[in-house]
Amino acid sequence: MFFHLFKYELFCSMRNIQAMFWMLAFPIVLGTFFYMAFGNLYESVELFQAIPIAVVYDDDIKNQTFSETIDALSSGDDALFSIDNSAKDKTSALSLLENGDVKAVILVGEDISLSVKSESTETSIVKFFLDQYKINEKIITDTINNDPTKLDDVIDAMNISESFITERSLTDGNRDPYVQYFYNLLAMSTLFGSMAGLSVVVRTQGNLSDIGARRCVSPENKLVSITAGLLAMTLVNFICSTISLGYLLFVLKINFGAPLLPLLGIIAIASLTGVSMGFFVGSFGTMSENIKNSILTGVSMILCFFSGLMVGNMYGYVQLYAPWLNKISPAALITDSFYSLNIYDTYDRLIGNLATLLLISIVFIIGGFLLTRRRKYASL
Amino acid sequence: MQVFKTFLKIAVRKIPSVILYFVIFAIIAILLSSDAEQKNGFESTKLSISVHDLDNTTASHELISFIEQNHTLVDVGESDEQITDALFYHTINYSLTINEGFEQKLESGETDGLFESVKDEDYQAVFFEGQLEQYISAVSMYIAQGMDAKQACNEASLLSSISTDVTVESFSQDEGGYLMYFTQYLAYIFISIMIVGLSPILATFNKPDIRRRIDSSSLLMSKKTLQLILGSLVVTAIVWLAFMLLGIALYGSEMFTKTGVLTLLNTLVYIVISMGAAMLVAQFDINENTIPMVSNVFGMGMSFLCGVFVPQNLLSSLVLGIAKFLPAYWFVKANNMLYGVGDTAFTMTKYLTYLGIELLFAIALFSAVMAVSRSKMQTSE
Repeated sequence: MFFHLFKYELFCSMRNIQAMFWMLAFPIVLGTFFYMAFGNLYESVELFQAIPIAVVYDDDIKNQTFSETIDALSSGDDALFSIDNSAKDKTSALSLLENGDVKAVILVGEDISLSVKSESTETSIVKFFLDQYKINEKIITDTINNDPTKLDDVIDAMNISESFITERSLTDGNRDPYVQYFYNLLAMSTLFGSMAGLSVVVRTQGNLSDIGARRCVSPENKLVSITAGLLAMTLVNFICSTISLGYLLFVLKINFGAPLLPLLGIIAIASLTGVSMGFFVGSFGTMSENIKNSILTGVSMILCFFSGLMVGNMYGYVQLYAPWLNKISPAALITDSFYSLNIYDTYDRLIGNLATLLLISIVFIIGGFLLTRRRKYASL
Repeated sequence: MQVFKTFLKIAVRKIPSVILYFVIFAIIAILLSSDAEQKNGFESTKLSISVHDLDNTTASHELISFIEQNHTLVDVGESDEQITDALFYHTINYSLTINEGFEQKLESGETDGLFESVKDEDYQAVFFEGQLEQYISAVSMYIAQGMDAKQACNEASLLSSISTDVTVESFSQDEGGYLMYFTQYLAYIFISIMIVGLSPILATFNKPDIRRRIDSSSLLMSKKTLQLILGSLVVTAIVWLAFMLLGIALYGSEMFTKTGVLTLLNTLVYIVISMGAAMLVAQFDINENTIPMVSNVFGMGMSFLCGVFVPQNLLSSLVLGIAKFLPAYWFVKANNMLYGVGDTAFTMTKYLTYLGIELLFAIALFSAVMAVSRSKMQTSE
């Protein structure tokens, strides 16, 4: 009987177009949008590239030292700036700025000044470079005035060792912060499996559907039929999320920084959590299916919001101000499982997350069972 | 006015789902404006830095206070795990460890291995390391002049008063910061809220049985259409006004500058487009549960493609090429131009051109609505 029920629950879920949309179509569509928007952002925006600038010299004053310095900084592989030489005077340089061809215009006259369009890290770097130039100029002039014998020492000291900072790398994983949007996408997709979990309740509860009423009068043990339903829905949720994962990995070629098998493990447990959440909410109270559906969509969305589906560094903020939320929110736990698999070599944190997810699932399932058992209807 | 009255009755029942969107959006807008700061002139970017001081000497303390002057110190804990997480989620931009023997090395003129860092190869890291290098270089130069480490650090900190004059060239109408983001997100909210709020009402009138019943009554077809349009306009106007009131509550006078008024006009045109989209969705006989799906796919899809969530100049040319065929692209472009963001400088002609393109989208949508409803009339009866 168990397998019979299991089979028909599977058939039913295929026809639940709403749940199918949220579990399968929506993640794929949203993933495509994410990819279009964030796909190349890390390399093109976050990683440092030479900053385009224009330099305008006052014809009367030739500042040889400055032009040599800035030329040196604009050549080589790790150049700080790339100079646009097309501008010959201030007006044409400013029009380059206006059109976004350069980020800053340096005006070299008696004094050196800077024109920018807006504040940004790039323009701050240019300003900082000019400050540095002026500071070094001042210290050297001071030395010449005060104690010229020390001048050589001071100039020597100006160039400090290139290895004054040693860099330590903490991870070999993919540090592209945008990949977390895709983690969240899968968290959302598995949590939307709660709608499938809800459908299990709808199909067993007499007051919610005709099938439910039919089942109430059948001699079949409710524990068996609900277990069959939950397992079937978890399987469907798992398959849908795996298809989404496959799409992200093999079609969009997102680098999850982890091998396939453990990723599937996370999805399997997350699928169970999603379905059990729907089962619990579905069993709770006497609200209509539509209202419960809205509650589940809303809760899933809000949890995903706090784990970073809409705002990338949300998880970090929550960690700073309300770390407890990250410890209990299923969306945060799922996201963090993908993250820790990507970033860390050890599995402690991953295992902790997955154990919490399992615990949450068990609490939901037991809660759901307690709420649905021995329910009787005077009339339907 | 029976149709109109019924329309409003159904509309009242749709209020909860519309309010949900309104509240979510209001929260986002308030969050955005909460870290709004009045900016006067150019200010260098402030980064979030975590510093771990292993040296604990006068020189290292001086350095920390120098960093604090220019940036924000954030304590995320000292374990590798905490630092990795904080860097990944951008809670901090840079993690710096001042190595033991920092002061001693400085005094002996040695600069090798003063610090240890964990960071990304991004602009923030380049910027911060440049500053650090400058500071250390200045300290070394002062020490070479014969000062001790403490004095040299002091002098080096004072150097931050040397600052290059920066002119922030204004190519835009107005320097409005947060109103721009507010209206930008409206591109997402309007389309979502209109499809979720308006489409189900109109869809009710399009249900075959109800439509046949109304059409077979003595009510003139044109009057029915007119009342439906009137109802839609009322709903649209209420939604628009509600958001504008929210805008006034949050940004006050910024709304009434010339740029503010042009921005409002842009949103008004856009909500008319959203109304057209909602009416078109309602023409297709879809069930009520499907409408949120349509709204999400339309709303999010257009927002991602057209630069609502990610600035347009960061999108690839292929994406932008597709986006040009969507109204939100022109809405965002006009909005960006008004505030001098993006690559297009403001001119009235360009603004009106973008608005005109948006209106063309609206006309196209309304024509589509008419065409679909016409064809339904002729085929199904």
